[in-house]
Formats: sequence, structure tokens, C-alpha cells
Amino acid sequence: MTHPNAAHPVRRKYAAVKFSLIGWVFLLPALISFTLFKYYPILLGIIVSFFKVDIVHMPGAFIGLTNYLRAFRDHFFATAVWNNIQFLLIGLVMTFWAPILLATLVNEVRRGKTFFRTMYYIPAIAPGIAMMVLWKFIWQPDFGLANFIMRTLGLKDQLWLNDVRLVKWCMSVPGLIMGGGMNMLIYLAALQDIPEEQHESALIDGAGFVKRILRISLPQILPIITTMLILAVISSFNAFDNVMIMTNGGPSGSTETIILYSFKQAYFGNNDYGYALALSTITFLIIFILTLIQMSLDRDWSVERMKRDEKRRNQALAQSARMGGS
Amino acid sequence: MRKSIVALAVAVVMLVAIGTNFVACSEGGGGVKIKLNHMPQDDAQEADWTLFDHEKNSVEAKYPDIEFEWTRLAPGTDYRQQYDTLLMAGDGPTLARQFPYVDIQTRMANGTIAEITEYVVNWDLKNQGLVNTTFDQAISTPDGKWYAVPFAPYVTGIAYNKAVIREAGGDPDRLPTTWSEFADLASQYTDKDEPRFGYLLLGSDYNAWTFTPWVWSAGGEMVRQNEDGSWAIAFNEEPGVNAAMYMNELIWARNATQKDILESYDDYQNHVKAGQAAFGWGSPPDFTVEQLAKFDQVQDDIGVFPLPGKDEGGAPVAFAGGEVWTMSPLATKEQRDAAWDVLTYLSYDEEYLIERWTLEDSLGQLNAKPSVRNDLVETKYSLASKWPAHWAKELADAMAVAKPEPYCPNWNDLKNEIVIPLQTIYLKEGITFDEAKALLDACAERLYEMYPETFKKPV
Repeated sequence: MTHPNAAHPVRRKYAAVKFSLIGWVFLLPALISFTLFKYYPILLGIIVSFFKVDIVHMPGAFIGLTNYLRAFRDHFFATAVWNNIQFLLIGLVMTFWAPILLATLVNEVRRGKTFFRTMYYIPAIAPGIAMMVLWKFIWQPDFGLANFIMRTLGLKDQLWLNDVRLVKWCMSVPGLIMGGGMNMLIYLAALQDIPEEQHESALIDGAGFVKRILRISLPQILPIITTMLILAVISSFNAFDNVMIMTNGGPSGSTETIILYSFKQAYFGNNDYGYALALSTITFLIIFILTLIQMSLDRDWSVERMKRDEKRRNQALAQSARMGGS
Repeated sequence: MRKSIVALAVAVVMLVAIGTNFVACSEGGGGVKIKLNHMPQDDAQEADWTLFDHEKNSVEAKYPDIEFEWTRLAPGTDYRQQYDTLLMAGDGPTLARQFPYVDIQTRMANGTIAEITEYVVNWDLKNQGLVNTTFDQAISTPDGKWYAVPFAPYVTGIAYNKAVIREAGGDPDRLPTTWSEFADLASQYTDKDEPRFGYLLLGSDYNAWTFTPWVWSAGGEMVRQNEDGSWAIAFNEEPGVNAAMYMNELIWARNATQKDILESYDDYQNHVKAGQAAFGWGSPPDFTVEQLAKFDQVQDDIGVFPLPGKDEGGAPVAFAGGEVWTMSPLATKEQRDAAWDVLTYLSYDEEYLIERWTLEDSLGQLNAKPSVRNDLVETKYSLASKWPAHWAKELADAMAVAKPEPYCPNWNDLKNEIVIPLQTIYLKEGITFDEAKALLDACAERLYEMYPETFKKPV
């Protein structure tokens, strides 16, 4: 027998449609904004990359894949791609692991956690452009602070940003200080989500600090680390503003990134907008593919981990059953 | 459900309203409307605003039938980029005066400026020989088509600061005429602890601009025109390599300049104006009273002299450049007619020019750029009551040995391309002549490959 208060199927359907419609109304502004200001320009950019752009009579002449074929023959573009990869690798060495370590250490602090958290986060609040300009002065080879310290220590002056071997390392330092605090907070939040009981059990079982970090903390925040890695790859391949401000691609093109090179093709040469957009589209594809690979690897690891955990759980259950039987 | 439909309808109506508003804003009034981007930035000096108001009021009074839209380029980014972006959006200025004349061959080829032949060939002043002809070859084609009109020619050399030289224990009246003298003095004046540099080197993306006259001063050329009208690369010949090696020597062997070659042009200019250099790239027109006052500097201490010549085979030389008037390719015939009236009034009308120069002089803003009206060059200089006494002679000396910047198509591409080899040469301590030549040769080869229509090896 049907409950007298149960909704009629038509009424239920009406309620579902109403609920869904309200949701769409709320989503509409964001949807329109994204379509107009994100997806439409991206799509337009991809289309225009197949043209030799005439800015007076847009979009100009259709030239098929010519811009893309040109990119694969362009040694400056190859250099820019290699520069981006180097920036990514140096970023991983210099800046990626530091916030994880810092968050782990701060998480272990029993008193004054808020103080450390605030102190590390404050540089992230400072205006990024101002910080980069400040660092440019610090690395100034003739009268900068870095060489002053070198001289005080009795060491030889360096060219820093003006040295093709050092420049990328020097440029990643402000990133560590400015972005490190923010990343540390994200890792710290993830670490604090780990149930305290797990650490306490491990302590009782005699696990030391390093073992707890390696066996409990890091595996549990691995999804966050993967996400941050994806963001680091995206950010590295989109590097533009910091390069523009600190070196403008120099010295000798050693910091010219794909996006900066693309920008210069559009605005500092012969207004080659089609080619610039082809370069941007290639960058988009590189990031897209790298992200897919990372996400796929992460999925594989997660499945592997789940299987391993299940196996352990089953073994533990079997062991306790045996102990109960005896 | 009804509420949802109402909400949706309201959202749609609002979007339509916004769209309608955009359309309404873009519609202008009647008559010929032209757009000029001469308005100063909000943070411009008061004198700039006074001069703008004078220009605006004068031209609006002179042409009441023209509707003027006064705009400005957004601050902070490259003016070429901004012009192209506006043009792409169909919103560019009808009349512009920001392009250096060396851009014109490239822009006439890519159609981003209008052909204005009918106005130039029928221009009485031009036909009477009263218009500056320095840029003529660069702003026209061999078959007689015209694309621009001179706006502001200038001459640049080595700007010097007497106060800085005195502070460094030097004699401001002793100016170098050879490379070795220049290196000796620049080295003597440098004290990086101050910091004070004998010579401030412009090594960033603009380095080809300052490198060009150094090549000339060694007896060479950046490019040379072939008989068929194409251009041969010449910066990789011996004088060009010598010039690059000389910059390297100033940095490393003489310790006469800075090692930072990444400084932007704006920063560079500020450092020169702030008195951080005894010698730098520039000219008195770049140093207005207000700009110098910001750094406690005065015009009396600023002067200019030609770049010194290489000791053997070179000669002192200065650099001539300048901006031109151009019109939008999107302008209608009526708009071009109006724009022509406006540009000839603002740059070539005797009565207006004298009034303007008098006002500039009273504000301490009269620049030392020669008038584009040949018959008014002396008149302009005679109105300068506040210039330091030595400027007129120094500018005349520089003008006498000035060479115009090359103007071949793809000149900007060449300048962009040479940045990397020059930075490599400048920063490599102990680089040899052959290594430097190899870098410049490779750059030349790339240019021949990339722009075969423009650059061809001489037969």
C-alpha cells in the first residue's frame, strides 16, 4: 500500500526538474562567463593558428598547418621548450619538495604552530611583482646584495641573473619564498586531516619519526602531492610574468619560455599572431598530455595502493581469526 | 517553477540590456569623427597636461566641424602592441604619431598603416621644399607611394653628466673622441660602490639600437643595400665584430660599465637621469627639467657628444632617428581628409608652432628636436630661452656627423635577432674575435634564411 504522503511520480519529476532548473539558473552566469571569456578565446586562438593573420582584415589567409610545421623547424622554439623543461626540473629540485618538508616539520611542532604557519605564509601575501623586482636588485651583479654577501665571505662575484648557467636557479628562489608558504599551508591542511590515532598506533608499535612520515604521512597526502605536481607542471609551462620582469628572456635567450617567445612573435617582430597562437596551442597540448599522463599514473598508483591495503587488511583479519581459534 | 522561469527571464533580459548598452556606447554622433591618442597618462607631469590642453583647444577651435575623440594608449606595455590590438578590434587611432620611421617599410607591407600618397604629392609645403626630407626613402616606395609624414626627428649620441664627471674627479670639458680615450675615461669614472659607472651600457632587448652607431663608429654598417634593392647583412663584418668586442672590453678588461645587461630601457633611462653614469645613451631632448628634478639633477649639467670613433679606421658619429605621422588603414576618405588637416596643422602650421614652442619654453619643456619645417628650425631654437648655453653647439656638432637609422624591411626582426649573440659576446669574459665573429655570422645566416625576400647575400 502506498503511503498517503508519498509524492506522485509526476509531482516527483516536477520537483526534480525544478531543482535542476534552479541549479542551472545559478550556474548560468559562470557558464556564460567561462564560455565567453575562456573557451571562446581558446577556440578562436586555435582556429586563428591556422591562418596568416592580417590584423586589418581578420583572420587573414588560411595556411593550414604551416605555422605548426614552422614551429618544429624553429630552433628558438626548441630552445624555449627546453628552457621550460629546465625550469620545471629546477623547480622540482629547488621548490617542490621544500613546502612538503616544511609542512611535515610544522605539523610535528607541538607549540607555536600558528606562529610558524603565519611566518612562512606572510611572503605569499606580498605583491609578487614587487618581490620579483626586489630580487632582481638582490641579484644585480655590480652592487647587489648577493655579491655583497659573496665578497663578505671572501668568495668570487657572480653574474647571477646574467649568467646562463645560474639564471634559472636564481629565478626559482623568489618562487620558493613567495609560493612556498601557500603550498606549505595546503600540505599542512592535508597532514592535519590524517587521524591522530594512526600516528599514536605507529608510535606504540615503535615506529620512529622518519618511518611515520614515510609510511603514514606521505602516502596519505599523495593525492595532494600529485595535484600540486600537476599545478607545478602547468605553472612551469605557462611561465611568463616572472621571466618578463626579471630577465625578459635573457641573457642570450636562456630564460626564453614558450609563452614569452610566443608573445614576442606576436608583438616584437612582424606581428606574427598566427604563429604565436600556434606556439600557444602546442604549449596547451604539451600541458594537456603531461597532465593526462600524471593523472593516469596517479590512478594506477591509487588502485595499486587500494589493492595492497586490502591485501594487508585481509591478512590481518586472517591472522586475528587464527589467534581467536587457537 | 514559476520563480525559476522569472529568474531565468531576468537573467536573459539583463544580458540583452548589457549587450544593447555596448552597442549604444559604440555609436557616435554625426559629422567626421577622428580619434587621436595624444592624451597624457594620469600620472604625467603637469606640463604635459598643459601642453595637451593647448593642443586640444587649438585644434578643436581650428576645426569645429571635426568631432575629436581624445584617447591614450594604456600605460606599461609596448606602443606597437597596443596599436595593433586596437586596430584588430577596429578601434585604432585615426591618426598616430608614435612609430619610428624605421617601422614604416614593415607596416606598409603588412597593411597596418594607410597609403597617403594623394595628400603628400599635392602638398604645397612639400613641393616648395619646406618639409624635412631625412626619412623620405624610408616612408615611401621607389614607385612613389607615401605612407607617413615626419613628426619628430632627433639626434642621439653619448649624453654626459658634468656633475658626475666632476664627482669622479674628471674634467667635464675633456670629452673623448676615440675609443681608447672613451675607455680610459669611463674606466676612471667608474666606482661600483657608489654606484657610479663611466658608461652605462644598454644590453637588453634594445641593444641593437645602441650597437648600431658603435658599428658605424668602427667604420662599418649594419646592413647594406644590394643593387637589386634587397639588403645584405653587414654587422658580421670586421667593424661589427670590433664594436661587439669593444663592449666586451668595456665590461671585463676596463671595468668601465655595468655587468647587468638585463636592465629594461625604462630603468636604463632612469639610471642615466639619476646621475649614475658619466656617459650614457641619450640626448638633451630626453632630459627635461621636471624629469631631472626628480633625481636632483639639472639641465646645465647635461650635454651630448658624438660616439667616439675607433682609433684606427673609425670616426665619431651620432645617430638620427625619429617618429612619423601615420593614418589608420580603416579610416574612411572623410576621416583621412580630416586627419590630414589636423596633422599638417599640428606639425607644419607656422603660427601654431610658434605659439606651441613659446608655451613649451615657458614650461621648460622645449625639446631640442629640430622642427620638421625646414624654414622654422632656426626659429624654434631662437625661442629657447632656458636651454643651457652649450646645447645648441653640441647638438649642431652631433647633427653634423649623424647617420639615419637603417630602415630596411624586417629591420625590427634583425634587431630582435641580434640581441642574443650580442648578449653572449658582452657577457663572455675572454671571448676571442673569432668566437664573436662566429656568433654574428650564425645570426646573419639565420636572417638570410628567415627573411629571404629582404636579406640576400651580395653576389
